[in-house]
Amino acid sequence: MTPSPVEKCAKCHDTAQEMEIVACRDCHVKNPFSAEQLAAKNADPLRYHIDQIGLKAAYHQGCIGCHEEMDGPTGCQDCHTRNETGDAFYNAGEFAPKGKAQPAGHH
Amino acid sequence: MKTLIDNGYKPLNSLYDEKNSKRWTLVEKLLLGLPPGQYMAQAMRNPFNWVLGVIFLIGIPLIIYRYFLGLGVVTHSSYDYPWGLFLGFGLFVMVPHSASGFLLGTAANLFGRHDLQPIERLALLNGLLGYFFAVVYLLVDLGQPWRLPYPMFVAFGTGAVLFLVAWHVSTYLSVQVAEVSEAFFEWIHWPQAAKFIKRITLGLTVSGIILSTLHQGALGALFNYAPGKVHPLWYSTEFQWILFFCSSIPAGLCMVIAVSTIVKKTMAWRCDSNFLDNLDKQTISLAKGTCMGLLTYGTIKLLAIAHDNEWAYFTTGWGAWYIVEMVVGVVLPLMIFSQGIRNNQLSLVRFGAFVTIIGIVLNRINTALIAFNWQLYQEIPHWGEVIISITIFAIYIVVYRFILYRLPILYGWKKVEPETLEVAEG
Amino acid sequence: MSEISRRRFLAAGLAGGAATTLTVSKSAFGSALLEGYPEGMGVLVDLTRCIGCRSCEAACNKEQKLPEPDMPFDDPAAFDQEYHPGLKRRTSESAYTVVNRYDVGTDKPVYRKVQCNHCNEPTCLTSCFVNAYKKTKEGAVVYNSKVCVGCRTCKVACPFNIPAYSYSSAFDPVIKKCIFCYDTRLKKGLPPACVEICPQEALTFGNRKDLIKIANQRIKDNPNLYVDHIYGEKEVGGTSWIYISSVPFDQVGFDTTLPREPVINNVKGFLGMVPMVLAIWPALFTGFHLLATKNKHGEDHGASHGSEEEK
Repeated sequence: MTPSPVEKCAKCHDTAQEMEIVACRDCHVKNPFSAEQLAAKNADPLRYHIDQIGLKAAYHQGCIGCHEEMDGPTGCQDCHTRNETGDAFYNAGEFAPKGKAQPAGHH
Repeated sequence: MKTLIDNGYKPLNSLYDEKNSKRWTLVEKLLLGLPPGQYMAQAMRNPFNWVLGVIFLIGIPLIIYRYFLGLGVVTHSSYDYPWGLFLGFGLFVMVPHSASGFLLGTAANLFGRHDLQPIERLALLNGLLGYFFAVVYLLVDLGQPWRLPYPMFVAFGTGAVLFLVAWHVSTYLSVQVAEVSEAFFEWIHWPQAAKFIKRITLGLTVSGIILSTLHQGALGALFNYAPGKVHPLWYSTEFQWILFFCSSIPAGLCMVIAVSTIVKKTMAWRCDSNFLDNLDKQTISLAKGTCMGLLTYGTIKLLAIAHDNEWAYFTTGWGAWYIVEMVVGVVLPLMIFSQGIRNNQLSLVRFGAFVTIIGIVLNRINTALIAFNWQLYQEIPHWGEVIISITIFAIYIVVYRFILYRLPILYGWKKVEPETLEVAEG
Repeated sequence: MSEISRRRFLAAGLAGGAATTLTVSKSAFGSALLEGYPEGMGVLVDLTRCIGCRSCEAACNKEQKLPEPDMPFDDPAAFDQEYHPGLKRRTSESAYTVVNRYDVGTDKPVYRKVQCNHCNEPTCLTSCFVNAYKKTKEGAVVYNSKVCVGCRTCKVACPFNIPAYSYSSAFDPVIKKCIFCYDTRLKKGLPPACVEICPQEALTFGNRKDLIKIANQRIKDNPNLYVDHIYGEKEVGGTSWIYISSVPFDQVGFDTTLPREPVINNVKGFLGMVPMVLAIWPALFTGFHLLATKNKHGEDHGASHGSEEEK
């Protein structure tokens, strides 16, 4: 990693360091909005990375961009096969509502 | 009724039944001194009752339907237009037109215009019934009408304008009931109660004007919660309440003229000479008051537009519609009234009163329904709302007529009895 | 005679006036709340991240035990639905939140999530005459269906047109709107269901004050991506749910004409005038009466008011 020439990054990252493991989950936590995480973010007033996304978002945001460029899978069900629980959750498949679809607002 | 009178029937107007040498009983008073058969016959002969019958035949089942199946069956269930005709007409139109109570009460009792006394009771009754039926319309419109007393006793949103409206309307209804009850106590012969009411009349009148100023204004202030939703020509942040209060004055006065006109045409038999002989003069007086009110109202409407610099809207379609409302509600009536008053042309003056009423109805319907959500779409009320509104208005007319036929509103109650020497009119 | 009548008149006036004092004057609105409760939470909605999967709609539907939708949540036909010609879907009695699609000429459509914005100074709350709404210290604007009378003033009042009403119910119609998952999550410090499920983290949960900072940082770090405005930061006094977007807000369904101060400021003028009228009118009109009738009968007209010879 080359040292960042940008001043604001150099504040903390002034020397290049090789990391042992650079797994996504080492920096991007599973529950970014838990009370502990929110408290940790506020613990250091000088902390720059106050907007670190969680693990789920890191996967999606990190992977989908390249998939789009390389014509890889980009739809939800392209990677996540829908099972019965999913169908129930999205009211899809055999759980789809019967009857005419009508948007609510007035009649 | 006219047939009966031609045949010598004298409308019941006194405590004592001279023919049978006894006091009238309550039932006899209710039947206007007629035998039940004759009473029913005259009711059946009246073509207006046939129209009412048809309205009730359709409307009353529909009202019951609304209560058992919910508002969704008689309205468009609109999330964007929560208020329809029930409130747009029943509340926002009927309340300013029922301002006649406090207007005539104040004029006659407070300002000492005793020349208006013959018509004062009619104005008080108009006010009472208008507010009472505004509450009836509310009971049909509310999602949970059985919770109507909640803001009085259960949960208090003291900062809300509607809280003020709720308390004021209920308090003012009591004041108006008290004011009209003087006639009622005379009719059922409870002279001490009637005397008591007469003594506190001034206090009631002052309360009436305080409450009316505030809730007539508060109905306007309700739209202050939705500044962007009412078209700027009909909305003024600072003055909305003043506009509504000021316009209630010509509305109330003209309703008295209008109702007295209808009374004169359809039930002159019920009116005594005190009422009929003074009616023309009083109509002119009321019209003069209306003119002052209309001139002021027209001016402050233009002031409100100047204040927010909204002149550019006059080049739009909405501006044209606004001008229509101003012409019908202010300009035309003023022209008609000035001609009618100057030349003592009573029919012209009466026509002017009806035009004024239409104009102020237009203003309220515009503010609440037509110019409301002007940036969205126009909503035409559901036919169920139209029918129910007409039905409730028909009930209002029936109740109005019922009371006018009986209570000493249009005539003076005679308390003469052979044993006593006291002949006190009224 | 005149003294007795004056006493009677005063008593009557007080009795009548007492009736008017039953009206309650407005409560004082502390401006301390203008910035929201200090520990108030919020959600930052980033329109550049939303892909329109509508998982948030599905999650809300399950969390709040809402009725079955009229079509599956993954059916893109929903984006073409219009509840009125030209108007995309809105919140309803069975949908506390909807995601709408806007095709604004960019290579990808923009999706916008609509729900109650949990304003700092909620107009619905100020307009409710039975105090059915409450702004909790966690930031949620919640609703008490047990006192609601069904007047629907809150629907008139909400500048975002969010509250829906269950018109279909005959015996228990109530307001239906997003409650920030207060009962099931926010009270316990957990993020709402929609935030948790969003795969793209288009929804960021946190303290409202921190979210403003985060939003500003995102805009600053990506100046060519975002419009330099946080919608909801100041609008109608500030909302807990704030938005940042890559396209101008008025192109994606936001009302950009809203004032920057709470709507209550429109009503304060009238409410403040109320106790003035209550205090001034009695003397004013009694004065009118005395002045108007002074010389009618040679002496104070009020003296002869109690007498029977009046009529």
